[in-house]
Amino acid sequence: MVDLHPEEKIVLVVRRHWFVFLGEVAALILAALLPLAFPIFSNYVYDLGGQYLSESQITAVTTFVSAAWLLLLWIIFFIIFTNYYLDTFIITNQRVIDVDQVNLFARDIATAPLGSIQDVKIEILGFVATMFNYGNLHLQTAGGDKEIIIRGIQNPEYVKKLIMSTHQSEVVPHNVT
Amino acid sequence: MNPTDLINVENPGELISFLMPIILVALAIFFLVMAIVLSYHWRKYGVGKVRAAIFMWTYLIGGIVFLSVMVTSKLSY
Repeated sequence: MVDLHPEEKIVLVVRRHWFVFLGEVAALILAALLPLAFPIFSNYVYDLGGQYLSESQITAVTTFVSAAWLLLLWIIFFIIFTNYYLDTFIITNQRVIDVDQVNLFARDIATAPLGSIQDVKIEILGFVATMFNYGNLHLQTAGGDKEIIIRGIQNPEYVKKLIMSTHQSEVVPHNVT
Repeated sequence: MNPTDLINVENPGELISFLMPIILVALAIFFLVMAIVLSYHWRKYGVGKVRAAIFMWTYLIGGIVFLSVMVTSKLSY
């Protein structure tokens, strides 16, 4: 996933909530239902193509187009799924790593040592986000106005608590001594 | 022979018959290229072997089913 430092251990790997993923593929699901509309327009299609094609030929063409359409959607679904699956936020005992899989050929990785995190803010916006418990996580880091934003993360409150507790247990003792 | 003589636009049946294999081959190539690209991503970015295999087989089986339906309907055309 990412190269870890010696003695670095992964505490938590978190992805965007499945409902956010579902929102991304909703258009695909609707588009996949489109071939079901063929029988509704079948009379129109037979009127249009009946003089050139036999009934069995029209059936073969509509089946062919439906399968081609579904294959295209199937490929697009896997591209979206891959982007979703590889888009992760990792908390280790030393730092946080935000892997942003923008698309198949664009990947953005931001890291921040736990010691540099100054503020953690969560946002749970709207009815659906509250019901399904997902939201945005803002990490304010030291050194200028750098901010890491992880959108649509599942259980942001728990993630925030975990960052704070890991910070307390891993970073604060070193600063005290 | 002029290439346009191959397609009799006045008869859509011939045009469809001409386009079907082209669409089929184009989609099959796209499907295979994406299989390579996706499996490369899954392996490179640390998806475990078992999960990568599950993703790959799901992708392949689904795609092969759709391609088979396309081939069958082309043959029955």
